[in-house]
Amino acid sequence: MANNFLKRSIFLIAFISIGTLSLFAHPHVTVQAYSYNYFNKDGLQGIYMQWEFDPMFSSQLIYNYDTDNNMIFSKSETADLKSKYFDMLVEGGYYTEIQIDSKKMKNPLPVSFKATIDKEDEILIMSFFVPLSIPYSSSTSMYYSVSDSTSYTSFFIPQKDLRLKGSDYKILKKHINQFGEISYTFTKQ
Amino acid sequence: MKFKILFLLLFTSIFSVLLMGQTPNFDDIEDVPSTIESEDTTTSNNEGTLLDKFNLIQSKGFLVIDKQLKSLRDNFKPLPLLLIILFSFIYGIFHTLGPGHGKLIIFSYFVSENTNNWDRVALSILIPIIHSSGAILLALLLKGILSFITGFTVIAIQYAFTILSGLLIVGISLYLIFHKEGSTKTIKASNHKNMFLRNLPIAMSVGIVPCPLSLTIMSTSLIYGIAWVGFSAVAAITIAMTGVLYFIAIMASKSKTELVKKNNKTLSEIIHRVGEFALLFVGILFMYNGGKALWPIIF
Repeated sequence: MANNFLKRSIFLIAFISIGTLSLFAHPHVTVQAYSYNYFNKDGLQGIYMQWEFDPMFSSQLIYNYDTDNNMIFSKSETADLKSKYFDMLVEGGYYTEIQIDSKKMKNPLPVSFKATIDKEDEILIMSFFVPLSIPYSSSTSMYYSVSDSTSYTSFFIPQKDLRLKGSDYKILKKHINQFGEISYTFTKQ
Repeated sequence: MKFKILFLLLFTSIFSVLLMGQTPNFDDIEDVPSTIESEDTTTSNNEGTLLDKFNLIQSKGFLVIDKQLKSLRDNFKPLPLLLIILFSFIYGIFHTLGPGHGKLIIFSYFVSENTNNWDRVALSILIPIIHSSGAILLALLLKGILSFITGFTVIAIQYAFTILSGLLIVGISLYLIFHKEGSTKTIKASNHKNMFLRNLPIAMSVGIVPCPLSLTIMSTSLIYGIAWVGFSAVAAITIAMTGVLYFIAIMASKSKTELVKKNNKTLSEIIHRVGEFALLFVGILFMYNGGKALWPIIF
């Protein structure tokens, strides 16, 4: 009798625990996130990020902000999109986490915001530069991720390799998780 | 049992194959800095969680729906319309089986409360209708008198609805916890009087968050000038959602019956309490999640 009671209680707890998985919201915006790491003689200058939104969410942003419907974002249209969408993302940390040598850093303010439309696929591409200025050392580990803790937006990294620009760097180790994480170790060449 | 597993595997495989090759080639987009290949070889891996993989398949499903919507926008043909309705129905099942959509609430409710089949029917119909019609209404308002609301504010509105939903769920769970008499009162199996009305509070609390999937499809189809296609797709998703929720409700009721088979009053009371506190927990979590998302924007 006691055994049965225990079994049933365990079953109930297990069932409810599985059900608890459903507490996580599901994504309704998808972003393909590309990134380019910029180096110079002093070290890592920053990351150029390029986010490509899914066609349906793109259609809404294009509809709202490409007001003259020419599929090109003018300066004023870009400014409008930036203030009403991107700046609000920035206030929440723009879904980005950066760690240098395993230490989480405060997200720098992104610069050089740009918005373009891929006319063929009708998708919105937002890009911006995250300035970092990390000097070279014998080995510096760099980690960054893009993810939305509320799961409203899901990020995927389609690139199969690191994308690097500039000179004087040497990559020692690297790793890409297509579900939003990139890590590598660099030093001066 | 084996047949069911095989069927599920086959269904998932067919679904996955259909989704393959739908991703646009993003490498061809202009204005991308040229790639400099590094010397070492990176391990491209699949280390994401099950949820990540589920999300990846969903995102590909989104592309399929958008492709069909564009095809109907550019040139109406009956076949893409039928395809989009069929695909929306299948996608609706898949989407509802994923996280969210009040499955845990439905489960907790039917495990803890004394209900009958009419309650299961009523809630399975009411929740998806409220959930989807809210989305249709919001999409129409956002394209009409609320067109000044754009960008991230649209997402923020949905976070606010999540907080509201959490508040309502907390309210209902507290009522059930402190109103023991009402929750344990036996309802006759044939009692269908006011079946919709008596389930309206719980249905409202769960369904009040406008379905973001339906909102996206409806908004996109309004932009494409094919609102009725969007409406058909949302209707198909709503029917799929009804089926899934009814299945969950039956599962919950059967689990409860199985667990208290031997008329064990203590166990019955434990199940009541666990279910009601699970509801309370979900409500608080909804409020927390919505608040956490809105906090950095407001303050």
